[in-house]
Amino acid sequence: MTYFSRQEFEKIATLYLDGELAQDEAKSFEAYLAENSGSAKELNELKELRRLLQARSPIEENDWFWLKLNNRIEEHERKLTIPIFRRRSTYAFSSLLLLSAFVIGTIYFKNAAVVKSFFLEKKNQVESSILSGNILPFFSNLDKNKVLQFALFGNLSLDSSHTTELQVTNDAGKGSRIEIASLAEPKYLNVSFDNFADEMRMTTTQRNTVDSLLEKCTERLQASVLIDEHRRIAINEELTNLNKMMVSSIAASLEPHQRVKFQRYLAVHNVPFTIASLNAPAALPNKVLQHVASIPQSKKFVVISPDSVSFAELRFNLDSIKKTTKQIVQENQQQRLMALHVMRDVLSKQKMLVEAQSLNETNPVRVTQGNDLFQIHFEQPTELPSIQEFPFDENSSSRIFSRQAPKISRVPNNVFIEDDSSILFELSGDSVVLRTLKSLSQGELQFELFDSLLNSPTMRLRITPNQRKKLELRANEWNSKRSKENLVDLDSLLEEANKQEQIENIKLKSKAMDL
Amino acid sequence: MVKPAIINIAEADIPYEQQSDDSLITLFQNGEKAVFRFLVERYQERIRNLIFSIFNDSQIVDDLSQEVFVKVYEALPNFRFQSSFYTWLYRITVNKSRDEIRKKKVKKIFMFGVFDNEDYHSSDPALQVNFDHDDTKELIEKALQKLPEKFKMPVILKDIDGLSYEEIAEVLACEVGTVKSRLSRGRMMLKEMLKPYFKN
Repeated sequence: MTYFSRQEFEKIATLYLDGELAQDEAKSFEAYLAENSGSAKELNELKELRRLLQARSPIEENDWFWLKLNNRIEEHERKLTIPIFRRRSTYAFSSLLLLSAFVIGTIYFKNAAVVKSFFLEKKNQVESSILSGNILPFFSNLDKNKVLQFALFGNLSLDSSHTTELQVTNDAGKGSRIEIASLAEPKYLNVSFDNFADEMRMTTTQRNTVDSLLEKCTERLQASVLIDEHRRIAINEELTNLNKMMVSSIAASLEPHQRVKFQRYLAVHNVPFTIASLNAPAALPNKVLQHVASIPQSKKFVVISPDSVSFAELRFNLDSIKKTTKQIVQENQQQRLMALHVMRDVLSKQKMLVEAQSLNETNPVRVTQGNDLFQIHFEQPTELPSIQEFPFDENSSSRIFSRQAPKISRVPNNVFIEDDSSILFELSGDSVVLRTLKSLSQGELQFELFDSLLNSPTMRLRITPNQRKKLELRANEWNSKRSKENLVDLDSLLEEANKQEQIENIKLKSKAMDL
Repeated sequence: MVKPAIINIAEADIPYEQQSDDSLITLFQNGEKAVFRFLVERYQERIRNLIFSIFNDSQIVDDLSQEVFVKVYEALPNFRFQSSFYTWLYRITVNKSRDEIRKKKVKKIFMFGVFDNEDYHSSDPALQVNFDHDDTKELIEKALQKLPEKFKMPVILKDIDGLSYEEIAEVLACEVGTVKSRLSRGRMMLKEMLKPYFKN
């Protein structure tokens, strides 16, 4: 017969009551209870006790609970936001601050000459550069809506009617372009930050983060396009990457589900960017802002005057420029008018001295001009070391891809020909196409691996429009032979396209000679 | 091991009332302070009843519950999802209640110079409940109030709030074994106090 001490009985009865005993233990305890009526009675009393406790009626509900609590929370928060100078403990701090100001003032007074020469030197730095006289930011009245518009669409309006605009295009394959063009009608709708934030369902913190980000980028944008008194315009090369960095930073500050919305927004509005890191967690606000603040501004500018174009490294003091801008704007509001005048002058000039001039050997920059178009083309798809996208994690630095909206014209086998004169190959494993491409020399064709969102290894090839035409013709042939032949002999195809192009060039030259 | 805060993308369109605690907390931590209301409304009655069970004093319930939620509001930005929200909330409530019990004891000492001994002795007449004048519900409340705090908490959390042993251990910051022994002892003490009731 099982015997339980008092303490043992109490513990086992509790576990039995809560259904925590194993099946065999429970059976053995039930057998014990069957033989010990006193213990069984005690267990029944425990059951009754639990029933009584559970049957207690709940306290009456308080409908005013939240209202009172809310007042209490607000009061609590008010206490936390009392300005620092109103707290007793900060009297000492204030005194210290005054003392420091006094010491700094004395030092300045004694070394006024040194301080003055320092600022003069800074000013001279500006004056000794290519730009001279008063240097002003071209865009001095940017607000966050305009900056957001630039981030998303890469365009900034140069006049109030939105028919002259600066457009930045950054294509992974084509390189970067800055265009100043006259448009028949405005290209993009005006973007509103508030509407954008509402659409992304941004939290207050996210709104503040993106707002601060836009503010920081406003300064950067202002420092990227400058004009001087002699109607010269200097455009910083980093302008081509600035919007990409901004889009990546906005994406970084969003939660994954908001990023999906952002992705959709970009696609719907034909914004030429694709976010790859959709699932990365939202970056902390200070990290996003620190990233933007930590990027040093490039010093390389394309300087355009009414009759010359050059590529130069400029050093200037942005703070002093801002100060001058303030003064001039306050004095006579001439700055904007002057800027527009320069632009019109450049655009109205029919014969530009430099029609297509290579300005830089290592990173070819070409400037071309038409009747109503002015274009600076950075031929290499540059990723400026000075201005990079937000690093979502340590293993990947770039998570935003520039893209052209793919318009597929032919689909033979796994080959897609796009409207932007490039072809995409969907590759699976070690296909013949991949091997063929690997054997091609990079000098003949520019190609790069393009990580698409489809998660399939794809390869993008850049070809000439002529080559594209030939490929399209061949694509039709492939379609008809598809059942017989599954693999593409790209080598011979391209060889043929090149030959055709050479023949056409010779024909064109002989025609020109005849004329 | 830190449990990551996961926001289900599908939850983005669900009304706040129907969103999980973790989802609401994540929103709160991202600056949407307004969602705190939904957390409060979800748990306010449970917390009020828990405090009422501990003190059996309706005067103190709302005041202390609000103190608990103010504390939660302050601490929520640092909530790391290492436990469920409600066990964390219960823990804050229990700690606040313990502070209140301590304050009351100090008051008692200064007012009457009498120290209320927590040790239980069934023979102590102070713990005997008068069954002649009280109805059953009041008897239970009185008996519960006479139970020392360290035995009372597990009984309330288990028999009234229905928490598991593990959850109680988390709330009271002790071992599961301790919870079991205190619970069994607490129940026995209550049963002992309600002996006359059971006789009837």
